[in-house]
Amino acid sequence: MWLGRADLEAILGFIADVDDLDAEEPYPAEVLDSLRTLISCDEAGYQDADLQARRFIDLNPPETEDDDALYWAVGPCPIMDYRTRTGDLTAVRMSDVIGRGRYHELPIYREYFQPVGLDHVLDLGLSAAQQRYRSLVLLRGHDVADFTERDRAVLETLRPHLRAREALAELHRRARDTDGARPPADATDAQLASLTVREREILHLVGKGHSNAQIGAELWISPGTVKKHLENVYEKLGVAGRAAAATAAQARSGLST
Amino acid sequence: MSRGAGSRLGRADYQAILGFLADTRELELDTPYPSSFVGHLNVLVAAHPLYRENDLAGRRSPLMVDASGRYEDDADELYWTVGPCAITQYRSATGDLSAARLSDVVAWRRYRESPIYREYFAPNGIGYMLDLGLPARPGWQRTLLFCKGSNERDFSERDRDVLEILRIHLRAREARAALRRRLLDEAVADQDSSDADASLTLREREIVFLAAQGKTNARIAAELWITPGTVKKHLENVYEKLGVSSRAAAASRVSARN
Repeated sequence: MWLGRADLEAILGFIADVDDLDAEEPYPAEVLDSLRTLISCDEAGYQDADLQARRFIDLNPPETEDDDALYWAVGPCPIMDYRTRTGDLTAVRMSDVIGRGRYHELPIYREYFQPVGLDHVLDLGLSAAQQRYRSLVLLRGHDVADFTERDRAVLETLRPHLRAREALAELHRRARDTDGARPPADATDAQLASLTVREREILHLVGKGHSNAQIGAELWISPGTVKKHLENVYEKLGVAGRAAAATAAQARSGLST
Repeated sequence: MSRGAGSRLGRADYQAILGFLADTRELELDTPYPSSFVGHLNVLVAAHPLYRENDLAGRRSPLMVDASGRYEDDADELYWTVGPCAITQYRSATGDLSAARLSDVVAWRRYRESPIYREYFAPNGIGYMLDLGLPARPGWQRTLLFCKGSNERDFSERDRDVLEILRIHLRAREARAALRRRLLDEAVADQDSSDADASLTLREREIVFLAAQGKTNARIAAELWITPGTVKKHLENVYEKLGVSSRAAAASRVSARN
Protein backbone atom coordinates (compact mmCIF):
# COMPACT_ATOMS: atom_id res chain seq x y z
CA MET A 1 0.00 0.00 0.00
CA TRP A 2 1.17 3.46 -0.88
CA LEU A 3 2.11 5.47 2.17
CA GLY A 4 2.53 9.12 1.31
CA ARG A 5 4.66 11.72 2.92
CA ALA A 6 1.97 12.80 5.37
CA ASP A 7 1.52 9.19 6.50
CA LEU A 8 5.24 8.67 7.06
CA GLU A 9 5.44 11.90 9.03
CA ALA A 10 2.44 10.88 11.12
CA ILE A 11 3.94 7.45 11.85
CA LEU A 12 7.31 8.94 12.86
CA GLY A 13 5.45 11.45 15.00
CA PHE A 14 3.61 8.64 16.74
CA ILE A 15 6.86 6.74 17.38
CA ALA A 16 8.53 9.85 18.81
CA ASP A 17 5.49 10.63 21.00
CA VAL A 18 5.23 7.19 22.56
CA ASP A 19 9.01 7.08 23.00
CA ASP A 20 8.67 9.79 25.60
CA LEU A 21 5.88 8.07 27.49
CA ASP A 22 6.23 6.05 30.62
CA ALA A 23 7.56 2.70 29.50
CA GLU A 24 6.58 0.57 32.49
CA GLU A 25 3.45 -0.51 30.66
CA PRO A 26 3.34 -1.08 26.89
CA TYR A 27 -0.16 0.22 26.16
CA PRO A 28 -1.24 2.92 28.62
CA ALA A 29 -4.09 5.30 27.73
CA GLU A 30 -1.67 7.85 26.23
CA VAL A 31 -0.43 5.35 23.65
CA LEU A 32 -4.00 4.48 22.71
CA ASP A 33 -4.81 8.19 22.44
CA SER A 34 -1.88 8.74 20.09
CA LEU A 35 -3.05 5.76 18.08
CA ARG A 36 -6.49 7.35 17.71
CA THR A 37 -4.83 10.47 16.32
CA LEU A 38 -2.75 8.46 13.87
CA ILE A 39 -5.71 6.43 12.60
CA SER A 40 -8.93 8.26 13.24
CA CYS A 41 -11.46 6.10 15.09
CA ASP A 42 -13.94 6.22 17.95
CA GLU A 43 -12.21 3.73 20.18
CA ALA A 44 -8.76 2.17 20.40
CA GLY A 45 -7.98 -0.59 22.83
CA TYR A 46 -5.56 -3.31 23.84
CA GLN A 47 -6.89 -6.77 24.58
CA ASP A 48 -5.39 -9.91 26.04
CA ALA A 49 -7.73 -12.90 26.20
CA ASP A 50 -7.57 -16.43 27.53
CA LEU A 51 -9.17 -18.44 24.74
CA GLN A 52 -9.67 -21.57 26.80
CA ALA A 53 -11.27 -19.87 29.78
CA ARG A 54 -13.12 -17.54 27.38
CA ARG A 55 -12.39 -14.36 29.27
CA PHE A 56 -10.29 -11.20 28.96
CA ILE A 57 -7.24 -11.11 31.21
CA ASP A 58 -6.34 -7.56 30.33
CA LEU A 59 -8.37 -4.88 28.59
CA ASN A 60 -7.47 -1.24 28.19
CA PRO A 61 -9.74 0.68 28.39
CA PRO A 62 -11.34 -1.75 30.84
CA GLU A 63 -14.80 -3.17 30.34
CA THR A 64 -17.53 -4.04 32.82
CA GLU A 65 -17.90 -7.66 33.80
CA ASP A 66 -21.32 -7.76 32.16
CA ASP A 67 -19.92 -6.57 28.83
CA ASP A 68 -17.12 -9.09 29.11
CA ALA A 69 -19.62 -11.90 29.74
CA LEU A 70 -21.77 -10.69 26.85
CA TYR A 71 -18.81 -10.68 24.45
CA TRP A 72 -18.02 -14.33 25.11
CA ALA A 73 -21.70 -15.32 25.14
CA VAL A 74 -22.35 -13.94 21.63
CA GLY A 75 -18.78 -14.01 20.33
CA PRO A 76 -15.90 -14.29 19.83
CA CYS A 77 -15.84 -11.78 16.99
CA PRO A 78 -15.00 -12.95 13.45
CA ILE A 79 -11.49 -11.46 13.58
CA MET A 80 -10.58 -13.42 16.70
CA ASP A 81 -12.09 -16.44 15.03
CA TYR A 82 -10.07 -15.83 11.90
CA ARG A 83 -6.77 -15.45 13.78
CA THR A 84 -7.33 -18.54 15.89
CA ARG A 85 -8.07 -20.52 12.75
CA THR A 86 -5.20 -19.25 10.59
CA GLY A 87 -2.56 -18.00 13.01
CA ASP A 88 -2.37 -14.87 10.82
CA LEU A 89 -1.45 -11.80 12.89
CA THR A 90 -1.39 -9.18 10.13
CA ALA A 91 -3.56 -6.09 10.47
CA VAL A 92 -7.06 -6.90 9.19
CA ARG A 93 -10.42 -5.17 9.05
CA MET A 94 -13.66 -6.87 9.93
CA SER A 95 -14.60 -6.48 6.25
CA ASP A 96 -11.47 -8.46 5.28
CA VAL A 97 -12.60 -11.57 7.13
CA ILE A 98 -16.40 -11.53 6.75
CA GLY A 99 -18.97 -10.12 4.33
CA ARG A 100 -20.65 -7.01 5.62
CA GLY A 101 -24.14 -8.46 5.29
CA ARG A 102 -23.30 -11.56 7.24
CA TYR A 103 -21.45 -9.63 9.91
CA HIS A 104 -24.52 -7.50 10.51
CA GLU A 105 -26.64 -10.59 11.05
CA LEU A 106 -24.31 -12.02 13.70
CA PRO A 107 -25.23 -11.82 17.39
CA ILE A 108 -21.79 -10.30 18.14
CA TYR A 109 -22.71 -7.33 15.98
CA ARG A 110 -26.40 -7.04 16.89
CA GLU A 111 -26.00 -7.51 20.61
CA TYR A 112 -22.48 -6.32 21.35
CA PHE A 113 -21.23 -3.75 18.80
CA GLN A 114 -24.42 -2.24 17.40
CA PRO A 115 -26.06 -1.22 20.72
CA VAL A 116 -23.06 1.01 21.51
CA GLY A 117 -22.95 2.41 17.98
CA LEU A 118 -19.81 0.58 16.84
CA ASP A 119 -19.42 -1.16 13.52
CA HIS A 120 -16.08 -1.11 11.63
CA VAL A 121 -13.09 -2.84 13.18
CA LEU A 122 -9.39 -2.74 12.36
CA ASP A 123 -7.20 -5.09 14.38
CA LEU A 124 -3.46 -5.75 14.71
CA GLY A 125 -2.64 -9.22 16.01
CA LEU A 126 0.15 -9.38 18.60
CA SER A 127 2.19 -12.48 19.32
CA ALA A 128 0.81 -14.42 22.27
CA ALA A 129 1.35 -17.60 24.24
CA GLN A 130 -0.59 -20.78 23.43
CA GLN A 131 -4.32 -20.40 24.01
CA ARG A 132 -3.91 -16.67 24.45
CA TYR A 133 -4.95 -13.89 22.13
CA ARG A 134 -3.56 -10.39 22.11
CA SER A 135 -4.36 -7.52 19.76
CA LEU A 136 -4.73 -3.80 19.33
CA VAL A 137 -8.24 -3.05 18.16
CA LEU A 138 -9.61 0.13 16.57
CA LEU A 139 -13.35 0.74 16.21
CA ARG A 140 -15.52 3.11 14.21
CA GLY A 141 -19.25 3.86 14.27
CA HIS A 142 -21.58 2.79 11.44
CA ASP A 143 -22.19 6.39 10.38
CA VAL A 144 -18.61 6.75 9.11
CA ALA A 145 -16.62 4.94 6.41
CA ASP A 146 -14.74 1.69 6.96
CA PHE A 147 -10.99 1.74 7.61
CA THR A 148 -8.93 2.09 4.42
CA GLU A 149 -5.94 0.19 3.04
CA ARG A 150 -3.87 3.12 4.19
CA ASP A 151 -5.12 2.68 7.77
CA ARG A 152 -4.24 -0.98 7.63
CA ALA A 153 -0.77 -0.31 6.23
CA VAL A 154 -0.10 2.36 8.86
CA LEU A 155 -1.09 0.03 11.69
CA GLU A 156 1.09 -2.77 10.32
CA THR A 157 4.06 -0.41 10.09
CA LEU A 158 3.87 0.12 13.85
CA ARG A 159 4.54 -3.54 14.67
CA PRO A 160 8.31 -3.47 15.31
CA HIS A 161 7.91 -0.36 17.45
CA LEU A 162 5.15 -1.89 19.52
CA ARG A 163 7.24 -5.01 20.00
CA ALA A 164 10.14 -2.88 21.20
CA ARG A 165 7.76 -1.12 23.60
CA GLU A 166 6.61 -4.44 24.99
CA ALA A 167 10.21 -5.58 25.39
CA LEU A 168 11.08 -2.31 27.12
CA ALA A 169 8.23 -2.72 29.61
CA GLU A 170 9.46 -6.26 30.28
CA LEU A 171 12.97 -4.92 30.94
CA HIS A 172 11.62 -2.37 33.40
CA ARG A 173 9.70 -5.12 35.16
CA ARG A 174 12.80 -7.28 35.41
CA ALA A 175 14.99 -4.41 36.58
CA ARG A 176 12.47 -3.90 39.38
CA ASP A 177 11.81 -7.55 40.27
CA THR A 178 15.22 -9.13 39.87
CA ASP A 179 17.32 -8.96 42.99
CA GLY A 180 20.36 -10.65 41.57
CA ALA A 181 19.32 -14.01 42.92
CA ARG A 182 18.99 -16.84 40.46
CA PRO A 183 15.39 -17.53 39.45
CA PRO A 184 13.81 -20.79 40.67
CA ALA A 185 14.90 -23.82 38.72
CA ASP A 186 12.57 -25.79 36.52
CA ALA A 187 14.31 -29.07 37.26
CA THR A 188 15.33 -30.18 40.73
CA ASP A 189 18.97 -30.31 41.74
CA ALA A 190 18.72 -34.02 42.33
CA GLN A 191 17.45 -34.62 38.82
CA LEU A 192 20.18 -32.53 37.29
CA ALA A 193 22.89 -34.04 39.46
CA SER A 194 21.99 -37.46 38.08
CA LEU A 195 23.05 -36.45 34.57
CA THR A 196 26.44 -37.60 33.33
CA VAL A 197 28.95 -35.11 31.99
CA ARG A 198 28.25 -36.29 28.44
CA GLU A 199 24.49 -35.91 28.95
CA ARG A 200 24.96 -32.37 30.26
CA GLU A 201 27.15 -31.51 27.34
CA ILE A 202 24.53 -32.76 24.87
CA LEU A 203 21.70 -31.03 26.70
CA HIS A 204 23.63 -27.78 26.56
CA LEU A 205 23.96 -28.10 22.79
CA VAL A 206 20.26 -28.95 22.48
CA GLY A 207 19.55 -25.74 24.35
CA LYS A 208 21.45 -23.87 21.69
CA GLY A 209 19.09 -25.24 19.07
CA HIS A 210 21.47 -27.78 17.52
CA SER A 211 20.09 -30.87 15.78
CA ASN A 212 21.21 -34.37 16.71
CA ALA A 213 23.30 -34.46 13.52
CA GLN A 214 25.03 -31.19 14.44
CA ILE A 215 25.66 -32.37 17.99
CA GLY A 216 27.00 -35.66 16.69
CA ALA A 217 29.41 -33.85 14.39
CA GLU A 218 30.52 -31.53 17.15
CA LEU A 219 31.20 -34.26 19.70
CA TRP A 220 32.52 -36.84 17.23
CA ILE A 221 29.78 -39.35 17.97
CA SER A 222 26.98 -40.70 15.79
CA PRO A 223 23.53 -39.03 15.73
CA GLY A 224 22.14 -42.36 16.97
CA THR A 225 24.31 -42.12 20.08
CA VAL A 226 23.12 -38.55 20.64
CA LYS A 227 19.54 -39.78 20.43
CA LYS A 228 20.20 -42.54 22.95
CA HIS A 229 21.83 -40.08 25.38
CA LEU A 230 18.86 -37.75 25.04
CA GLU A 231 16.38 -40.53 25.78
CA ASN A 232 18.25 -41.14 29.03
CA VAL A 233 18.13 -37.41 29.78
CA TYR A 234 14.35 -37.25 29.22
CA GLU A 235 13.84 -40.14 31.59
CA LYS A 236 16.07 -38.67 34.30
CA LEU A 237 14.41 -35.26 34.09
CA GLY A 238 10.92 -36.68 33.65
CA VAL A 239 10.21 -34.68 30.50
CA ALA A 240 8.87 -35.67 27.10
CA GLY A 241 10.98 -33.87 24.51
CA ARG A 242 14.17 -31.98 23.70
CA ALA A 243 12.57 -28.57 24.08
CA ALA A 244 11.20 -29.45 27.50
CA ALA A 245 14.55 -30.90 28.59
CA ALA A 246 16.44 -27.81 27.47
CA THR A 247 13.97 -25.48 29.20
CA ALA A 248 13.95 -27.50 32.38
CA ALA A 249 17.69 -27.29 32.60
CA GLN A 250 18.29 -23.82 31.23
CA ALA A 251 18.32 -21.81 34.41
CA ARG A 252 20.92 -24.01 36.05
CA SER A 253 24.48 -22.84 35.99
CA GLY A 254 25.79 -26.39 35.83
CA LEU A 255 24.65 -26.63 32.24
CA SER A 256 26.07 -23.36 31.05
CA THR A 257 29.58 -23.23 29.73
CA MET B 1 12.67 -12.61 25.50
CA SER B 2 12.85 -16.22 26.45
CA ARG B 3 13.09 -17.27 30.02
CA GLY B 4 16.54 -18.69 29.44
CA ALA B 5 17.91 -15.53 27.89
CA GLY B 6 17.21 -13.53 31.00
CA SER B 7 18.12 -16.06 33.62
CA ARG B 8 21.77 -15.10 33.98
CA LEU B 9 21.15 -11.38 34.25
CA GLY B 10 20.84 -9.37 37.42
CA ARG B 11 19.29 -6.00 38.18
CA ALA B 12 22.44 -4.10 37.26
CA ASP B 13 22.42 -5.70 33.81
CA TYR B 14 18.81 -4.72 33.15
CA GLN B 15 19.51 -1.20 34.35
CA ALA B 16 22.54 -0.97 32.08
CA ILE B 17 20.45 -2.04 29.09
CA LEU B 18 17.69 0.44 29.95
CA GLY B 19 20.31 3.17 30.35
CA PHE B 20 21.86 2.32 27.01
CA LEU B 21 18.49 2.39 25.26
CA ALA B 22 17.62 5.75 26.82
CA ASP B 23 21.03 7.22 25.90
CA THR B 24 20.88 6.12 22.28
CA ARG B 25 17.18 6.75 21.63
CA GLU B 26 17.68 10.13 19.99
CA LEU B 27 21.02 9.34 18.37
CA GLU B 28 21.27 9.99 14.60
CA LEU B 29 18.03 8.31 13.68
CA ASP B 30 18.51 8.31 9.89
CA THR B 31 21.05 5.50 10.09
CA PRO B 32 20.50 2.44 12.26
CA TYR B 33 24.16 2.04 13.23
CA PRO B 34 26.05 5.35 13.17
CA SER B 35 29.47 5.38 14.81
CA SER B 36 28.08 7.20 17.85
CA PHE B 37 25.68 4.32 18.46
CA VAL B 38 28.17 1.55 17.74
CA GLY B 39 30.79 3.17 19.96
CA HIS B 40 28.36 3.45 22.85
CA LEU B 41 27.74 -0.31 22.84
CA ASN B 42 30.86 -0.78 24.94
CA VAL B 43 28.99 0.41 28.04
CA LEU B 44 27.08 -2.90 27.80
CA VAL B 45 29.90 -5.25 26.90
CA ALA B 46 33.42 -4.10 27.70
CA ALA B 47 35.18 -4.69 24.38
CA HIS B 48 35.74 -3.06 21.00
CA PRO B 49 32.37 -2.94 19.20
CA LEU B 50 31.81 -2.69 15.47
CA TYR B 51 29.11 -3.05 12.86
CA ARG B 52 30.04 -5.06 9.82
CA GLU B 53 28.50 -6.05 6.48
CA ASN B 54 29.85 -9.07 4.62
CA ASP B 55 29.33 -9.68 0.90
CA LEU B 56 29.64 -13.47 0.89
CA ALA B 57 29.70 -13.97 -2.87
CA GLY B 58 32.16 -11.13 -3.44
CA ARG B 59 34.18 -12.27 -0.41
CA ARG B 60 34.62 -8.78 0.97
CA SER B 61 33.36 -6.59 3.81
CA PRO B 62 32.46 -3.29 2.16
CA LEU B 63 31.13 -1.63 5.29
CA MET B 64 32.61 -1.47 8.78
CA VAL B 65 31.66 1.07 11.44
CA ASP B 66 33.22 1.57 14.85
CA ALA B 67 33.44 4.42 17.36
CA SER B 68 35.79 6.35 15.09
CA GLY B 69 33.47 6.17 12.06
CA ARG B 70 33.06 4.22 8.84
CA TYR B 71 36.25 2.65 7.69
CA GLU B 72 37.69 0.15 5.28
CA ASP B 73 39.71 -2.72 6.63
CA ASP B 74 43.17 -2.54 5.04
CA ALA B 75 43.50 -6.25 5.64
CA ASP B 76 40.07 -7.13 4.22
CA GLU B 77 41.60 -9.15 1.40
CA LEU B 78 43.72 -11.09 3.87
CA TYR B 79 40.65 -11.75 6.05
CA TRP B 80 38.82 -13.33 3.14
CA THR B 81 41.90 -15.20 1.91
CA VAL B 82 42.78 -16.91 5.21
CA GLY B 83 39.19 -16.71 6.52
CA PRO B 84 36.41 -15.93 6.90
CA CYS B 85 36.29 -16.45 10.66
CA ALA B 86 34.48 -19.39 12.25
CA ILE B 87 31.40 -17.34 13.21
CA THR B 88 30.88 -16.14 9.64
CA GLN B 89 31.26 -19.73 8.46
CA TYR B 90 28.89 -20.98 11.13
CA ARG B 91 26.20 -18.43 10.18
CA SER B 92 26.54 -19.21 6.46
CA ALA B 93 26.18 -22.91 7.15
CA THR B 94 23.29 -22.77 9.64
CA GLY B 95 21.46 -19.48 9.06
CA ASP B 96 21.50 -19.13 12.85
CA LEU B 97 21.63 -15.44 13.87
CA SER B 98 21.71 -15.83 17.64
CA ALA B 99 24.49 -14.15 19.61
CA ALA B 100 27.57 -16.36 19.53
CA ARG B 101 31.16 -16.30 20.72
CA LEU B 102 34.04 -17.67 18.69
CA SER B 103 34.41 -20.24 21.45
CA ASP B 104 30.80 -21.36 20.88
CA VAL B 105 31.47 -22.38 17.30
CA VAL B 106 35.09 -23.56 17.24
CA ALA B 107 37.36 -25.36 19.69
CA TRP B 108 39.94 -23.02 21.21
CA ARG B 109 42.94 -25.12 20.19
CA ARG B 110 41.78 -25.41 16.60
CA TYR B 111 41.13 -21.71 16.44
CA ARG B 112 44.59 -20.81 17.72
CA GLU B 113 46.17 -23.02 15.06
CA SER B 114 44.05 -21.70 12.20
CA PRO B 115 45.49 -19.32 9.60
CA ILE B 116 42.76 -16.73 10.29
CA TYR B 117 43.96 -16.45 13.88
CA ARG B 118 47.67 -16.58 13.21
CA GLU B 119 47.72 -14.26 10.23
CA TYR B 120 44.77 -11.93 10.83
CA PHE B 121 43.52 -11.86 14.42
CA ALA B 122 46.76 -12.35 16.37
CA PRO B 123 48.68 -9.60 14.53
CA ASN B 124 45.72 -7.27 15.23
CA GLY B 125 45.73 -8.25 18.88
CA ILE B 126 42.33 -9.95 18.69
CA GLY B 127 41.72 -13.09 20.72
CA TYR B 128 38.04 -13.30 21.51
CA MET B 129 34.91 -12.38 19.57
CA LEU B 130 31.23 -12.09 20.36
CA ASP B 131 28.82 -11.56 17.50
CA LEU B 132 25.12 -10.79 17.09
CA GLY B 133 23.74 -11.79 13.69
CA LEU B 134 21.31 -9.35 12.06
CA PRO B 135 18.93 -10.30 9.27
CA ALA B 136 20.32 -9.51 5.81
CA ARG B 137 19.42 -9.96 2.16
CA PRO B 138 20.50 -13.23 0.48
CA GLY B 139 24.25 -13.57 0.01
CA TRP B 140 25.02 -11.00 2.70
CA GLN B 141 25.65 -10.94 6.41
CA ARG B 142 25.22 -8.09 8.85
CA THR B 143 26.49 -8.29 12.40
CA LEU B 144 27.29 -6.33 15.51
CA LEU B 145 30.64 -7.58 16.65
CA PHE B 146 32.76 -7.25 19.79
CA CYS B 147 36.50 -7.96 19.88
CA LYS B 148 38.86 -8.48 22.81
CA GLY B 149 42.57 -9.07 23.13
CA SER B 150 43.89 -12.60 23.71
CA ASN B 151 45.38 -11.46 27.02
CA GLU B 152 41.84 -10.79 28.36
CA ARG B 153 39.09 -13.20 29.36
CA ASP B 154 36.57 -14.66 26.92
CA PHE B 155 33.07 -13.14 26.74
CA SER B 156 30.65 -14.52 29.30
CA GLU B 157 27.18 -16.00 28.98
CA ARG B 158 25.98 -12.75 30.51
CA ASP B 159 27.51 -10.77 27.62
CA ARG B 160 25.77 -13.02 25.15
CA ASP B 161 22.40 -12.66 26.89
CA VAL B 162 22.70 -8.87 27.05
CA LEU B 163 23.37 -8.71 23.33
CA GLU B 164 20.45 -10.99 22.52
CA ILE B 165 18.08 -8.77 24.52
CA LEU B 166 19.07 -5.82 22.34
CA ARG B 167 17.78 -7.51 19.19
CA ILE B 168 14.17 -6.32 19.37
CA HIS B 169 15.29 -2.76 20.02
CA LEU B 170 17.76 -2.86 17.15
CA ARG B 171 14.95 -3.98 14.89
CA ALA B 172 12.80 -1.05 15.94
CA ARG B 173 15.76 1.26 15.33
CA GLU B 174 16.27 -0.16 11.85
CA ALA B 175 12.55 0.14 11.07
CA ARG B 176 12.56 3.74 12.21
CA ALA B 177 15.62 4.60 10.13
CA ALA B 178 13.95 2.98 7.10
CA LEU B 179 10.84 5.15 7.59
CA ARG B 180 12.94 8.27 7.89
CA ARG B 181 14.88 7.40 4.76
CA ARG B 182 11.63 6.84 2.89
CA LEU B 183 10.48 10.24 3.98
CA LEU B 184 13.72 11.85 2.82
CA ASP B 185 13.41 10.09 -0.55
CA GLU B 186 9.83 11.35 -0.80
CA ALA B 187 11.02 14.89 -0.26
CA VAL B 188 13.66 14.55 -2.95
CA ALA B 189 11.23 12.88 -5.35
CA ASP B 190 8.61 15.54 -4.69
CA GLN B 191 11.04 18.19 -5.86
CA ASP B 192 11.78 16.62 -9.21
CA SER B 193 8.58 14.77 -9.88
CA SER B 194 6.90 15.68 -13.14
CA ASP B 195 3.35 16.93 -13.52
CA ALA B 196 2.40 13.60 -15.03
CA ASP B 197 3.64 11.75 -11.97
CA ALA B 198 1.61 13.95 -9.65
CA SER B 199 -1.48 13.42 -11.76
CA LEU B 200 -1.86 9.77 -10.72
CA THR B 201 -4.98 9.14 -8.68
CA LEU B 202 -4.68 7.47 -5.29
CA ARG B 203 -6.05 4.24 -6.77
CA GLU B 204 -3.53 4.33 -9.60
CA ARG B 205 -0.64 4.84 -7.21
CA GLU B 206 -1.89 1.99 -5.11
CA ILE B 207 -2.04 -0.35 -8.12
CA VAL B 208 1.41 0.61 -9.43
CA PHE B 209 2.78 0.10 -5.94
CA LEU B 210 1.36 -3.44 -5.82
CA ALA B 211 2.59 -4.12 -9.38
CA ALA B 212 6.05 -2.98 -8.27
CA GLN B 213 5.97 -5.76 -5.67
CA GLY B 214 5.70 -8.21 -8.57
CA LYS B 215 2.02 -8.94 -8.10
CA THR B 216 -0.09 -10.03 -11.09
CA ASN B 217 -3.25 -8.19 -12.13
CA ALA B 218 -5.30 -11.06 -10.69
CA ARG B 219 -3.58 -10.77 -7.28
CA ILE B 220 -3.90 -7.01 -7.23
CA ALA B 221 -7.57 -7.33 -8.14
CA ALA B 222 -8.16 -9.82 -5.32
CA GLU B 223 -6.41 -7.56 -2.87
CA LEU B 224 -8.36 -4.45 -3.83
CA TRP B 225 -11.69 -6.18 -4.42
CA ILE B 226 -11.93 -5.10 -8.06
CA THR B 227 -11.80 -7.12 -11.29
CA PRO B 228 -8.53 -7.87 -13.15
CA GLY B 229 -9.99 -5.98 -16.10
CA THR B 230 -10.28 -2.85 -13.97
CA VAL B 231 -6.70 -3.27 -12.81
CA LYS B 232 -5.60 -3.49 -16.43
CA LYS B 233 -7.55 -0.37 -17.34
CA HIS B 234 -6.04 1.56 -14.42
CA LEU B 235 -2.55 0.48 -15.47
CA GLU B 236 -3.14 1.62 -19.05
CA ASN B 237 -4.06 5.05 -17.73
CA VAL B 238 -0.91 5.03 -15.62
CA TYR B 239 1.30 4.18 -18.62
CA GLU B 240 -0.18 7.05 -20.56
CA LYS B 241 0.22 9.54 -17.72
CA LEU B 242 3.81 8.51 -17.03
CA GLY B 243 4.67 8.14 -20.71
CA VAL B 244 5.91 4.60 -20.28
CA SER B 245 4.92 1.44 -22.08
CA SER B 246 5.08 -1.38 -19.51
CA ARG B 247 4.35 -2.27 -15.91
CA ALA B 248 8.06 -2.72 -15.24
CA ALA B 249 8.79 0.82 -16.35
CA ALA B 250 5.87 2.21 -14.36
CA ALA B 251 6.91 0.19 -11.34
CA SER B 252 10.48 1.42 -11.44
CA ARG B 253 9.20 5.00 -11.55
CA VAL B 254 7.28 4.39 -8.38
CA SER B 255 9.74 2.19 -6.53
CA ALA B 256 12.43 4.78 -7.13
CA ARG B 257 10.35 7.01 -4.90
CA ASN B 258 9.49 4.43 -2.37
